[in-house]
This record gives sequence, structure tokens and C-alpha cells, in this order.
Amino acid sequence: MSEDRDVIEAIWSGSIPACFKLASHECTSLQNPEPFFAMLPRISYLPLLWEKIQRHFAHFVTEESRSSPIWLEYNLVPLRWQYPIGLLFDLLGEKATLPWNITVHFNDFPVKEVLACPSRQVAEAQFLNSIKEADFLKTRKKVMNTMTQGERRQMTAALHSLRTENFWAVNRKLMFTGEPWKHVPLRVFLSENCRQLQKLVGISNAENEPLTLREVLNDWIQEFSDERYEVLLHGVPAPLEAPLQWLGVNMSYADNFLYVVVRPK
Amino acid sequence: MEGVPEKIDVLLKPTGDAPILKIQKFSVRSELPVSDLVLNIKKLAKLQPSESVFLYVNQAFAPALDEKLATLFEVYATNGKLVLHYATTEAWG
Repeated sequence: MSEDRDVIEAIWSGSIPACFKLASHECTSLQNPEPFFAMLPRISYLPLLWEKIQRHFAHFVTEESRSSPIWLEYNLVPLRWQYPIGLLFDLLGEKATLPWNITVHFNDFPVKEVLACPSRQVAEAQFLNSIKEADFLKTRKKVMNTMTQGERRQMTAALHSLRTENFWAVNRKLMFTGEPWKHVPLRVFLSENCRQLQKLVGISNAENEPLTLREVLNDWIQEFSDERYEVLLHGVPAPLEAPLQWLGVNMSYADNFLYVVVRPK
Repeated sequence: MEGVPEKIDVLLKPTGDAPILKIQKFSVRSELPVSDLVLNIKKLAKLQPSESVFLYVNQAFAPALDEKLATLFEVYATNGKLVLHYATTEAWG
């Protein structure tokens, strides 16, 4: 199997227009700040923007909250920054109008609901850990064991600057492992209750044919059917009959996980 | 997650210079997040609040602190036990 460049390019170029506004009760200035507009790359992560957001709003909040870690919220749900932006939008933004309106908070950090992410480095470490988990599932960490610091830095830097080719120069090692994958890194999210499903899943079914996403969803979700649910991957209907490993190579997010959103029709 | 018992067995193993705990096997509520386990290890090992504890699955990766133990158990338990390594400095970088 080789990679499908068109699919990968399409995934890397997907973006969501967003409008960040400061929570009105946190504004201590007489004048309301202008909103902060950005095109959010679906494949990327919110903390990569935090410095800019913080700088934009810092002068409108009290001096003591200025340096506290910010957190973001959509529709009263705090956004879990360790998930890729595209997943967050597919999971929470079903009824959202564009631009996606996100509220910025400096105060009352919801410790029970989201992790603190005080710096970009914390977010990058989390991202690399997710890659390590994916590699463990595929090869029992054979690839990450031999990956240099330079290659890791190349991946995080290329994700930040959205240079697909630089990213894939390293990512290819993680995807084409020279032996069959043991398991496919896959997380399924049910938008009804924001539940996350993760189980061990291989690349073949009992008949030794390539396992498809449809077979997995039939197995994981009670009474799964096309009439009841729609299945999203990167904001578009997921190809349910495609072999899971093909999806893993070509349609995973940057951390090498497939994040599939299932929502009722 | 369905299929995961309410209480699961977790086996904690020290790594590097991490202090050895008197008890290493615990029965833990599976709905709890990883961060709860980290707090408990700090308490049991009598670490200062400023000291860090890093938890690893299969000596391969550190799960997100808000990951539910049930999910880790579902995917990574062997012989009905979830084995986690803990360290006071980062390991398996």
C-alpha cells in the first residue's frame, strides 16, 4: 500500500473559520476588545494559537488573571485542547454557524473538565505521546524506539507550519512499518453523549479479509445503521467500506490516530 | 466503557529513582481519570506537591491525565490487570 497524496493534501488543507471573543464578564475594560479571527487548520491543535489569543485579550482582563493559563469554550463546553481542532468541531459544532464562535477565558479554570496547558511545549509533549501510543498499537513501539529527537522536532515543527511534505518525510516511517500493523489506532466519539470508544482492533476480519470501518462500527455501536447515524472523518462522511488500515495510513490525524465522530441523523 | 468492571486491578511498578510503594496492587474505580492515580501515588510515596509523577503504559507512552482508567484497561490490560509504570522524572522519551 502506498499513500494517497490527494487525500492527504485535502486533509492538511482543511480549515475552519473561527471567531474568538473574550468572556464578557471577564472584561474589565470600558471598551470591549475586538474579536480575534483565525482560520483554524483542522489537523492542528488549539494551543498553537494560544500565545496570539492571550496577547490579543490580555489588556482587557485584570492584571492578576493576565498571566493565568487561558481556556476556551464553545456553547458552555470547555474545549479539550489535546484533541485536534477538526475533531472538536465535528463533535461539538454540529449546529454551529460559521465562523465558529469560541469564548476565551482567563479565570475560573475548569480543572475537572480540561487539563491545564500552560505552554506550547506541554501541548507538543502530549502530541508526541499520542504518536507513541499509536506506534505502540501498530508496532509495539518499534518505530518510536529508533526515532531521533531531530525527527520528532521535525514533526512538531511541520505540524505548526503546516508543511505536509516535511511532516510526511518522517510520518512515512510510522505508517509503512515493514510488517503488518498489529492494531489500528482508532478512537470513535459518539456526539450524543460525547462518549469515547477505544478498543483493540486489528487490520483483518475473521475471514482474513481487510477489516472495514463499517464492520468495526457494527461491532462497537448497538444497532448501528446508515439510517440512524452519520459518520464523520475530517468533516466529511467517512468511507465506511474502505479498509481500516487504508484509512489509518491516509486519513489519520497528525498524531496517527483515526478520530471518527458518529452522530444521530 | 461497557464490558469494563466498575473496579479494576491496577499494578504499579516503579521506574528509575521512583520510590517503591508498600502496596503495589490496587483495586480502583474504573471511571476515575489517570490524574486521580497520580495524586494517590504522590500521597502513598510521600512526595512533595511540587514533585512530579509520570505514568506510563507498557513502558511506551504517557496517557493524557484526563483519560479514563476504564479506557486504558479496555485496550491495554493483560490477564485482568492494568500494569502501569511510574517515574519521578520523564522516562521513555
